[in-house]
Amino acid sequence: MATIELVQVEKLFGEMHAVKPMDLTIHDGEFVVLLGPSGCGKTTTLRMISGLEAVTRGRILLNGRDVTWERPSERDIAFVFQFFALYSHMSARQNIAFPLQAQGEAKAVITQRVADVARLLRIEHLLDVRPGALSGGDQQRVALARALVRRPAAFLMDEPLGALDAEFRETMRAEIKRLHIDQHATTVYVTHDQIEAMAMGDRIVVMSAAEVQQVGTPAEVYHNPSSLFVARFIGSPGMNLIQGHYVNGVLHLPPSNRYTVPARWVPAIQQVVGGEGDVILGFRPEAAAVVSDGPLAAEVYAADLHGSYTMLHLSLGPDEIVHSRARRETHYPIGTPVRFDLNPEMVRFFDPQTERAIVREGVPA
Amino acid sequence: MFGLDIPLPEFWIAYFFVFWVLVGASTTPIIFRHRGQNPLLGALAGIVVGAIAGVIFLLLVVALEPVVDLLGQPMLGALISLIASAAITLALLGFARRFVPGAARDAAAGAAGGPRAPVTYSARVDKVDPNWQSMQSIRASVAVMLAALTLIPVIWMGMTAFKSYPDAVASPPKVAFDPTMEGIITLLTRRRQMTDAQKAEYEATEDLNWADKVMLKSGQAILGQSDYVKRLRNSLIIASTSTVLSVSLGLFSAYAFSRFPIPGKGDLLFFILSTRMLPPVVVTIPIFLMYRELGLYDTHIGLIALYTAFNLSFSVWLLKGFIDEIPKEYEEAALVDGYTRMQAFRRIVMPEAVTGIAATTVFCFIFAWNEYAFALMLTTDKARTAPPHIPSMIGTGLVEWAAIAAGSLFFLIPVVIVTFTLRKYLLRGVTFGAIRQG
Repeated sequence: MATIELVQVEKLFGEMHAVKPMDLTIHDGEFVVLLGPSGCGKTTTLRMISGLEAVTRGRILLNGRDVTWERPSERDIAFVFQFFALYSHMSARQNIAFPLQAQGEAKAVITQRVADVARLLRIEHLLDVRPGALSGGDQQRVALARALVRRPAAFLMDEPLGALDAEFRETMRAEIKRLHIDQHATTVYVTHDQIEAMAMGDRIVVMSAAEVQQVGTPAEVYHNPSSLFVARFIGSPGMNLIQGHYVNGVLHLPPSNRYTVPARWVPAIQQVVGGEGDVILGFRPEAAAVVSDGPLAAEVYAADLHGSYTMLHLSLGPDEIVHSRARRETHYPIGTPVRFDLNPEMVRFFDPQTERAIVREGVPA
Repeated sequence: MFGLDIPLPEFWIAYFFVFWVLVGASTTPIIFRHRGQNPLLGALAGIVVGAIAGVIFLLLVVALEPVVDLLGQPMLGALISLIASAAITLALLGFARRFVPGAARDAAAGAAGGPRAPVTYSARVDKVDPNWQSMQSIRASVAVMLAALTLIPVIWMGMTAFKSYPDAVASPPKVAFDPTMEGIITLLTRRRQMTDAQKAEYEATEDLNWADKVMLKSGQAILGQSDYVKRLRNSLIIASTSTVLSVSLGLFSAYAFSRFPIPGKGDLLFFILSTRMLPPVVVTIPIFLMYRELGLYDTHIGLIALYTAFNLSFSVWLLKGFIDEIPKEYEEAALVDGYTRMQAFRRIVMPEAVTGIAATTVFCFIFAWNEYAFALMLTTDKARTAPPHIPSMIGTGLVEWAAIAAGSLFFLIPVVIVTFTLRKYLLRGVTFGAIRQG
């Protein structure tokens, strides 16, 4: 298997940066997800790793070997495309055998390996069908089989589930994850779906506007977002972010709420803003709990039942809505005044100037 | 060859009978089958309907004769009769359909829980509906008849090719005639007209073959082969070579235009297209002068180069459209799977673009095959193709219509072969792509 290293890799389309210089090391057997909104450069990054797109500057190393200027065919990497890219004039079997034919494998070996990979993906009964007659999920299985059959050094997947129906997506997500665990192959997976990224990735690379925002495990990017962008992008809904005014250990929030900053955050905040200044308070919906003696006052704006829990929309001011997860049994009519408290372990602070998180030693992930 | 002004031309009556008998025979059995009746009975009914239609037509023509005489428009009567009798027959058909038993039984079967027999043709409810099916078969037979109508000139040409000279120029034209090989032999040979004395002497010689005997009837002796086969061979060589060249060159350049960031791509494509904006005939004289200087006059290479140049713009644009539709992920998948770009092109792009290649081939071949003006101007003998040769047979004096028709008939065959070989690729949407455009 393989380690993939990107050293100051950069891509320009004309004058425009598709990918700003980025460093990334993908370890052997790791499942790394490139996550970001469309147009953030995640697919371009993947295509540069595969060699389908030439890098403008920087180097790409595969197992320590510089492959920056090698052809895609020389890199020993498999690519799974969003729209499968199965050859419509060939049966599933011919599609799967196609990469092996390029290597000039013997007929018997090809037959054997196609059969093996078909069994692994449970598509043995579909081998003689043309791709056009297969369902989306089966097409993707054939595409995966075509990638797997060659036993490449690494797998690159470009939104492989994006073209599938919601029900198939869940199944295929588990299948790909399971396949990764069994095969233990280095995988780079591109998606814009943060739920997919959280569910599948060993590590997530969050990208936005051609830049890497944060690299970390799913728990890290969820609990300790490094920037406002990551805080908003990860989670549904994203992190609650309220701008307040910090004065000596107390955060003044709209309209007239006062939140006492947990003591261990005070030094870090004061280091950034001094004794007084604007600070953004961030917390996940599950960090806020409605309690009768909570320090913060709000009004119920809306309440949606999500089955296992109720999502409360609390309005602090005219434009400040925060989300809070409540027990599903509780019933809150719109307009009810409520008080709520925040779990001191789960609050985070951001500097509104730089949009970066204020960091403190020893934050648990 | 024939006109509507001929009173009650046998041809029209024959045609009308055949038309309605065919419509009936192709429609009514299907209607009968759908309604659970014997299809043979339906075929019989169809023939009867055809006969009735023909009779109505005849009666109408006779009845309208005084009106037509009054107006002095002889063809008007035939036309009105044609349309009116068609309308009356259709109305009769529609009316008679109500009395074909089975509709009630269908409804009963539907209520009882399904069709009587397994439905094997289509599972769609609207297609199982008997009315839909009979409409479908009526539509199909009308389409067949329209096709037959457009084929009349071709069929007439085929008939003329086998007519003797008196039959070919007979008025009113003859539908029934004694077939003879005169026309075809005339086309392929050079002959000499003999006086009666020469004829008697000629007849006495022993070694007369079959063709000689045929020509003897009109008093002609065969001297040798004509140029027609040579012209046809030239046509074949020039048209097929230029087609292969323009399609293959066009395929490569269309691929490049479709896939690579070529500097000035838009301008280049427009330049290629602009070669089509001038009617080719306008440049005949300059090309003639250039060819004479370059030694390309009356050469195969000259015409091949010219036809390739004319077809190239067409083939680049047509093929570019087809290649644009092949997602580039197809080749990219092959590239990461260990193929070079040339291999990916050959193994992925070409099979996926086969529809476009076939369509382009047919169009290019037909253009090169039919081209007349340049072939006339730029060739005399060595490289002369069939299109300028056939009218030259008209010559002076007696026009050998049978020979001309035979020449045109043979001229049709290669195009028919090419088009028929490639016809399954010409229908778009035969192959379903595995790419989902989400």
